[in-house]
Amino acid sequence: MVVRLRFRQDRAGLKPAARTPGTVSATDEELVERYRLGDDDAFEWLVERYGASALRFARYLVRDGHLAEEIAQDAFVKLVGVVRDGGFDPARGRFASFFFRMVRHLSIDRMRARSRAPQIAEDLDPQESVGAPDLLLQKERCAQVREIVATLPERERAAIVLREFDGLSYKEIALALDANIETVKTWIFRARRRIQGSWSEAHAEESRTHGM
Amino acid sequence: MECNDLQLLLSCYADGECTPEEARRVRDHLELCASCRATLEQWTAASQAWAAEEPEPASLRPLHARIEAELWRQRASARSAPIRRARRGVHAAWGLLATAAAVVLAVGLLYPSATAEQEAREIVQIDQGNREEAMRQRSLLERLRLEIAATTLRAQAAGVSTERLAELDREAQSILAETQSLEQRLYVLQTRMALGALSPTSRPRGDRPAPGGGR
Ligand SMILES: [Zn+2]
Repeated sequence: MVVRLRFRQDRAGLKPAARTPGTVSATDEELVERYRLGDDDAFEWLVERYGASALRFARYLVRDGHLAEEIAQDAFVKLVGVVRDGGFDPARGRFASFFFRMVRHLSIDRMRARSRAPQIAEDLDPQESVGAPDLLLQKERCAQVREIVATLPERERAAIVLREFDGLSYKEIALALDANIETVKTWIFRARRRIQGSWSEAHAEESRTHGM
Repeated sequence: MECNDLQLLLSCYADGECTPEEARRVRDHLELCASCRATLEQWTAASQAWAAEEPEPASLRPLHARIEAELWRQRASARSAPIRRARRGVHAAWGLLATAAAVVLAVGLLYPSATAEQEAREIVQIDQGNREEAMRQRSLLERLRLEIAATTLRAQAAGVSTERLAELDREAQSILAETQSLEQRLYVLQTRMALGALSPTSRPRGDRPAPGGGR
């Protein structure tokens, strides 16, 4: 992790990035409120918690790693403004839903702006594998799932990513994707079935080629 | 067929999204049905394999740098209460230093990964925030000088002797100098640590995929 210098001259001089006690256990919503009241550390914590997720979510949506980076950055920059203006209302759902909804809308905007039809798996191709054979196999399998996911319809894809990686509940996913819970249930189920289908096919193939 | 009817519920069950009644139904069925058990196992296996995906730390670096810059910019523009800030005047001059360092650091963080135009945009953004902040700092210094002059006049009017006043002023300046020197020491130390962490030895430049994919 990169050591980042923070500027604190409005408190007692310039302090190192000391974490405010209790930050780790604070809920997202508490962090948002603390940032709104002027605690920049709280925002940095949100970035820590959601940076990788935002990037991954955007990448699955736009299928372009570089564009996804820009979207993730835009999302947090936008979040700064929205939170400062009191634009997040915890009564209307958890922060995660609110944030991923924002990432999704930014992704859609960016794709529209580039008037670029989503392409298949540009950035989601199998990665070059290094290391032990079992790690290699694990990476291959992971790549395999990612390839299947890349072919899913947009909101099925979004739903399964939020479920599998970010552990959002169906209700939270529904809020993030502007849908209702029943639909989310179906999306996730369909995504699973598609993944399972290709997965078991590939494994059957693997077993045959290895003479099992 | 019961299995087909149950699959959607099975998916909810896997996510812990069933009612207790539904969960019981699923469990009862799973006990009797090897096919649904296999399905559930395959879902779990696929999910675990997928979870091996890790974000590249390198791709998060520009994100952190930009957020840092944005928070800095926000804070700079949020500060519009000069009186309140005057009390923190001790730290004023020093903000300029920090501002300069912010540019250096932000650029340093961005350099290995951002594209040239992204980089240019970031720098313009950071620079604008910093320029605004520098202007505020300058007007703050002016205000402080005026306030010191006014305080001196008020003290004289209240009958404090010129000698006593000069003595107090020397004391204040010496405390200030010591404070600043300690703060600067700390600051230099932190900067060196931050730059050390970013030096080529600890931050290989080739750790990011080239445009067009691949690692
Ligand atoms: Zn069954």
